[in-house]
Amino acid sequence: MPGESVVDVELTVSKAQELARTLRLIDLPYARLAECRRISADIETVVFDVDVQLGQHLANDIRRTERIAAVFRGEDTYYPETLALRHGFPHVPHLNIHREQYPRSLCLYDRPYSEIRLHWTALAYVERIREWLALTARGELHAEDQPLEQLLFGVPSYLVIPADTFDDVDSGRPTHLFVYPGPIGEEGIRAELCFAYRSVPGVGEPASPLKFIATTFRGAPQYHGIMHWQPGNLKELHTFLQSAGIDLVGELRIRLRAWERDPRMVATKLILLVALPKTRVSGGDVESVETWAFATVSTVGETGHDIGIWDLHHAVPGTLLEADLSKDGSETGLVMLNPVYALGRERAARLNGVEGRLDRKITAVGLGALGSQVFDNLARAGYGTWTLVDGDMFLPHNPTRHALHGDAVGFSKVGPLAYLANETIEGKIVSKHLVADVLDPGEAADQLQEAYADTEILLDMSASVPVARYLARDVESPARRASLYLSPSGEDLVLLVEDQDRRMQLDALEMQYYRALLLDPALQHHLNRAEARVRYGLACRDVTAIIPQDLVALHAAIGSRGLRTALASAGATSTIWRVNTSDLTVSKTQLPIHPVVEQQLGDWRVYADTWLLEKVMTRRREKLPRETGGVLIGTFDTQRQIIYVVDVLFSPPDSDEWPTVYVRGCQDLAAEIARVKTITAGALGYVGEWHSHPPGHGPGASTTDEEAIAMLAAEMAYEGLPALMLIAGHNQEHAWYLGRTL
Amino acid sequence: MPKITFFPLGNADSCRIDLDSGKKLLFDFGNMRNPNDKYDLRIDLAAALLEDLRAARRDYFDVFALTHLDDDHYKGASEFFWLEHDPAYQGEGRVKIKEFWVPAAVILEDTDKEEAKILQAEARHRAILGEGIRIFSRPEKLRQWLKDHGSVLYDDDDFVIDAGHLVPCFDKVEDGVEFFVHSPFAVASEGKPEDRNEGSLVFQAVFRVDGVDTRVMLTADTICGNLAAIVDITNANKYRHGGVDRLGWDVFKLPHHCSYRSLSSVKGEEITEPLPQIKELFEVHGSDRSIIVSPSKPIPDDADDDADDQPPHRQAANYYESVRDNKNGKFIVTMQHPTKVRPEPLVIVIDRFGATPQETITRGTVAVTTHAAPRAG
Repeated sequence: MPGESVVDVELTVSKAQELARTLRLIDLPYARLAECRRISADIETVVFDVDVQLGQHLANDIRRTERIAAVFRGEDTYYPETLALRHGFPHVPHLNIHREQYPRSLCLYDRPYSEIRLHWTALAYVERIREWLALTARGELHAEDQPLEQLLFGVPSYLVIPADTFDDVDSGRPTHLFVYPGPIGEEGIRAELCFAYRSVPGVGEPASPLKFIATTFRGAPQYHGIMHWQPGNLKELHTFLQSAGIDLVGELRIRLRAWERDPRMVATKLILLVALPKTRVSGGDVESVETWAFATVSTVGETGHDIGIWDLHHAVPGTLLEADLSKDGSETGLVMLNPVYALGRERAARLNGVEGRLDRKITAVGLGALGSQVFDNLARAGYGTWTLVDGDMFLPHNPTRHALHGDAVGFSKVGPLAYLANETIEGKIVSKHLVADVLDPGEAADQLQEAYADTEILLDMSASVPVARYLARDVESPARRASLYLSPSGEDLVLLVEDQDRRMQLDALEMQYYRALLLDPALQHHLNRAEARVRYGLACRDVTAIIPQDLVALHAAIGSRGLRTALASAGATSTIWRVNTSDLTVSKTQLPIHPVVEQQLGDWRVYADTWLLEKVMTRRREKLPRETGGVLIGTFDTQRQIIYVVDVLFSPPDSDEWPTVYVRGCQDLAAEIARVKTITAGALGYVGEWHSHPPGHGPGASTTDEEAIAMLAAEMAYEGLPALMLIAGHNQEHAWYLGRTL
Repeated sequence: MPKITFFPLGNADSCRIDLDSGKKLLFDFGNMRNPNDKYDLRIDLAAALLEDLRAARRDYFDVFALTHLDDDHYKGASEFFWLEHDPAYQGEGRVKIKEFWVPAAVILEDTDKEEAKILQAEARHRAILGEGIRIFSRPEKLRQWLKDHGSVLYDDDDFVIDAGHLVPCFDKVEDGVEFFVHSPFAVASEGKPEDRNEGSLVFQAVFRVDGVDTRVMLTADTICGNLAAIVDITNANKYRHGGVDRLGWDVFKLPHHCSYRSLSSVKGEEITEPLPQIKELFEVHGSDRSIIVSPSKPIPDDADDDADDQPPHRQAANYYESVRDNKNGKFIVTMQHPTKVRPEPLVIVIDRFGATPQETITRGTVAVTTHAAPRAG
């Protein structure tokens, strides 16, 4: 050990003092102080023996007692270096890679030292060393997929390589990458970073000159790591790589020759990128791939000279007819780099814990406050292959609640969003965009049609009922539809997702959702418009709601996760999440979904569902032998000639209910309808009448019924709407009647 | 994982085996601690066992094996266990014994010690009933005694077991352990059936975890002649053991608290030279990195202590340490584990890596949170 021997009380570095003091405690088992050394004024070493908990059968040759040296530095900014002093200490996982092989340096922690330092005690440190040794003896330390901590000397330089750099293994051809410096010179950033590209970037890409040419090697699968210390030159690296079946120098002799006549290549420096597949057990499947990168200190020209393929005359190669095999690369110094993969879709998904299909085609309509942030969440997680559709320009008030920032003002919303996503996730394009209003696409109509036809999910985040209805009913597409929007107050989030086979379509889900608002007292204020609105322009519609960004962000988080979950299953779903803004708890209401019952009546189509019919039948039975009735609640879609029937109101108290006749009264009816309109923000109202027939009678219309329909039709004609009547008879039978005055 | 726990009891024996099935087996109960001496470093065995049983929500041991009738192997047992033979030893808080394992001598020998008599009465009671007992070795005298007392066990091979056999109620595959009986064996039992130490229980316990076998030699106070005889008999019957080394061990619980008499009749100046059979037992049959456990007081440091004839003997310890050094093994003295100042139970966990003594430092915050806090007034 270097340094002068000192007695423990003379130590000055506080952690060294603490360790020595602890090791001298009389009844401390399993660890004993051997000696203390001072290397310099603020570097001190404590040498001690630890006992290792061992069984009879070991995976690695760890001994019952190991001698350890802990090197502490006064400034205490990095882990104390922990060295196993026994010569022959095995090469095992989780050693720090040094320039020298011995003594082995244990990599004890997988967390940054700043965190370790918070709770550091000498005893915990000794225990961590003992645990490291005991688990290493059992071969269980590398249980998780934890990479080796590489202690790089000097400032480590990052090399960003494409996610698929080593994908093209089977071809056996090396990949060449062009390496350019990344942004430099920002104060406080100590590391350097270079980007490696598959091809020479086009115009407008990095302005700086080519810095390195990188060339790849892939080794045979290894059980043990083979990089026992940091190779200092080409020859040392060659020796290591031999055990992985790579003839480094021989291969370089071939590869470099190809560049001999290219002065730009000869003048550039070389990076050797090496992938070493690792198996957990000897001969097992490859579980991880270690990637190493080494930059040559010298140019390709000089390196070629050093491996004996050419002579240099004024830096110009002159080929040797036969390679000079005595030149082994030992003159070519190497600097170790820290290779990091660019963020590909798979890794983004893995880091997000996203499993299952990632490349679902999603066409999203409406990239406003909620839409942009939902997209941002999902795209960052590598989820979805997107087409973004929105016709809006990004205006100065938008950044307050949007995934884009102020620098996007004046652009479309979708263009910058797609650009950022594609810049974030490397590889195949993540997002396309279309600047278009879906209800009035103009020149974009054809492109929109293509997008609809080629998508799996049609996601409405437009916060517009007409758009949702249009996407549900009027768009030619095999896609499953979904709708995601906030309530006007911003406190509730609604997610409606069709089933895979589109048996429950978006408009039907919307209607049943309105009904839920009527039935659940807790949801009565769901659609109440927030009072405060703010004008941002001169046009009548240039107003925007006051909704805090924190609520939008919270709902975007829930919405993106909720959507992902819903799409992973085949069924339809209809969910409301509500934030309690006083204590910020979120509650979820799963809305019931009932099968749709539909019928064409002349020009009109009636949509109801089993829940509604069951309610009518139950009421009939309750009132037998008398007839009963009431009004139908729902809405007319005059554009598409659809009547949605969602609920019924029961007989007003002033009605006449006789065994053979029913006359509906009107007491409180207007107030009831007004309540329905208020709760549903006008989405639902009166759409027709219903009544029941007595025992033994089917739902056929009697003469009286026909007269009633005719009278009703005459009245409805003022609004240009048809008269709808539902009759419930015996045997659970029902019939719809439509009256129209032409 | 199965677990063996040796307790720091001074020169006394007790070890507990915990199986994955939840079964608990106790070998001997030498609770030697003086409750009136607060500086007594020996553990309160009864309290420690009760704490463990409470945690496991049990009030019984599946097996209590009494290796022989010496008080350093049973002291306090009559206060701890629920004894079937007399209501005076039954009451709340007493721990029941499902199966009482005793050598024939416990039934047959004459004893004048009070507590030994109580335990003998329990063994005899169970033997006569023919329930909740296994007796090891069947000298003619035992057969006669069982017959005279009308016991059904007199010709029962499952409940009266001779050396050279496995105890029938444990299976290496199903229970994860088997017990091979080394002693008492016929010669000793026939010749001097009442000799307590000669007639004491010796087992080889073989644990199987994930297909890996770990052998634990559990001896009583066996003296060298008997240990040598065990080696001779086992070697002579090798062919009957189906290729299993019945003398093999990964853990060896030393007999008689590290006494030289278990190695040789001659102590030796600095190191006891064992009888050739015993040398073979330790040096040939012990595995690499094996563990020797001495259930004893700390080993005396120097020759000044030699005047005390009681074990442990440093000369014997020197021999065991030489075995340890050759095997990169471990020699653990219960009263020195992990330190002389604060001895703690030795826990050995058995898994596919063999037998691993648990060596976590229980000082500092760990100690503070696992022991009662000192009260401040």
